[in-house]
Amino acid sequence: MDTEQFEPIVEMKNVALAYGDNPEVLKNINFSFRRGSIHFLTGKSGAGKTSLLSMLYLAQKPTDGTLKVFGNNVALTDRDTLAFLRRRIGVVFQDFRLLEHLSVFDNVALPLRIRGMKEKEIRQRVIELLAWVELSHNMYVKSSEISGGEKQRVAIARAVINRPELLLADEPTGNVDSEIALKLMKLFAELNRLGTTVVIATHSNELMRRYNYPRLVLADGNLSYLKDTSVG
Amino acid sequence: MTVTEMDEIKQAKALENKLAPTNALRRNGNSVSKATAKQRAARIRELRRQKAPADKNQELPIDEGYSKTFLRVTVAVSVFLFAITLAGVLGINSMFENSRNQVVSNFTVQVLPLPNAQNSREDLLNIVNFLEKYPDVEQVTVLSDAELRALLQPWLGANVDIEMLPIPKLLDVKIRNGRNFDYRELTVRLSEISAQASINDHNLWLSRLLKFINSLKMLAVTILILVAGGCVASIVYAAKTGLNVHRDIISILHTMGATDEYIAINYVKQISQMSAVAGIVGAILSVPAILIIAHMAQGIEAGIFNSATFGMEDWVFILLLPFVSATLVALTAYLTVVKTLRHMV
Ligand SMILES: Nc1ncnc2c1ncn2[C@@H]1O[C@H](COP(=O)(O)OP(=O)(O)O)[C@@H](O)[C@H]1O
Ligand SMILES: [Mg+2]
Repeated sequence: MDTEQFEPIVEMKNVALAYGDNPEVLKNINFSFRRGSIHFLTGKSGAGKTSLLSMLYLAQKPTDGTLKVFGNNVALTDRDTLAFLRRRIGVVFQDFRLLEHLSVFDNVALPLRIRGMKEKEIRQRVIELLAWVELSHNMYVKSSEISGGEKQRVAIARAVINRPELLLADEPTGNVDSEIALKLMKLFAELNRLGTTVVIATHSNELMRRYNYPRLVLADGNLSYLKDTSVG
Repeated sequence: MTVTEMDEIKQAKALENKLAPTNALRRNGNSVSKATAKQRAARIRELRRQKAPADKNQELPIDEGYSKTFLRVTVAVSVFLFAITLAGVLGINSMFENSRNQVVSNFTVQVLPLPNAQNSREDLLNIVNFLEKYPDVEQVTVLSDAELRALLQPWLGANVDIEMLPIPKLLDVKIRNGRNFDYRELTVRLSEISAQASINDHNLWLSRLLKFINSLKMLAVTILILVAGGCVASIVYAAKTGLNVHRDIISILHTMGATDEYIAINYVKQISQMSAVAGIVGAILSVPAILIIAHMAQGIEAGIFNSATFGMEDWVFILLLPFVSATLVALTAYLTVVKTLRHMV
């Protein structure tokens, strides 16, 4: 076993985040995730869930404190290395953030192309995954032309095609009906069982009631940890 | 097959097995939901055989529209101006070289007679002796009276005794290394030997022309630098605006783990392809323009110069311009994009 397995996959110590000169959105955040864990990240709208995730997917650096991702202190990591770390993270954005001018295929292929994988292998993998998420019939359709539910599946396929070690989902159930939401949750659970560390930001009490995952609660810029999930 | 590949396949199979029965992400719950693993495998095989559409869109698109058109026109006009200026320089060069090659290997010295024939002869002898010892002079020939008579015949008629006339003597001087021969120096030195001698001045005249042509070339180079500068500025502008318009796409690409280099190469590939096409258009348009200018120049050159030979290699030069410009565009765009991306998430 390599030592990485014992190290937390992400770790925040006294992390604070402020946008520009505004007051801090997040203050003194402390937590760490074990490899293979699954968590909810919750809090009211505007509590800073998206902000916290954006630091985890390395789109923002903490304005204070220490953030370590895969053992790398992001403040001390150069631009290109950060890019390589991002390749190990899958993100499902609340608003999908697909490249609307590209086909479904090209959107899902993107993380593999960025990794420099051979086109033949990319084709193999993407076709397989698209068949699995039932999007084969729309493979070469522009992603701006598909329905919201289909976009969601494209976003998820794109997030998992690279078999990420860390999967971050920002309100993945916010835009879909509850039936699809539950299916999504099943998918995340399965991926987690296969070893992926998962963080799901949500403010849906229903969802948290159904799944007994430990919760991180954001309120007033502070983070608290709720292991007992019977609260609802 | 490597161990990791086997692992990956095993993992993928496990994922497939676990997820397939849950029908996790069915589109409408009934149409394909009963597909067995076998059917799905067949479907995947079939999909793999299908050809992907050829018109693959670029990840970071350069939008059609004002700025793209502007860039195309800029590149085409730049290459057009480049080509014409370059053709002018090459043409003048070749005209001049052709004339120069002829005159440089020899020149004539004219010696005016003195009132006294004896003095004239001594003067001529001094001059010949001086010239024969002069560096780089190969041979000095005094044109005979017969030759002089032949030269003068068209003007003076056949039956003139040139001994009776104060006709200057002509010396034909053959030189080595004619290109670097210093006529000024020789003129000065020769005047110290004899006041009667003068160098036939077409070489002097040529060296003045050479100066003029050199300043023309400097002017051409200045024009080229200005044109290239304008071109570079438009590309920097286009790249910067393009990147700003697509901030969100760039941020998605970055989030997926793209390096700045990856994004820059994606952009540069498109922009250099585009400018190569625009450049080819500019170069093709310049061909008739060059031919017209060359045709007009033929009127001037007659008599003074040999024809400007515009050879194959000169045309190759001009037709290479689109690729030179595409390279310039690529380099500029790459540096601009990488620099701009450093300030983006
Ligand atoms: N890019 C930004 N610039 C300035 N303020 C921002 C930005 N993004 C978020 N905020 C502010 O940060 C706070 C937390 O927002 P967010 O992280 O989106 O919360 P949540 O995802 O929990 O709804 C909000 O007050 C929001 O207005
Ligand atoms: Mg949010």
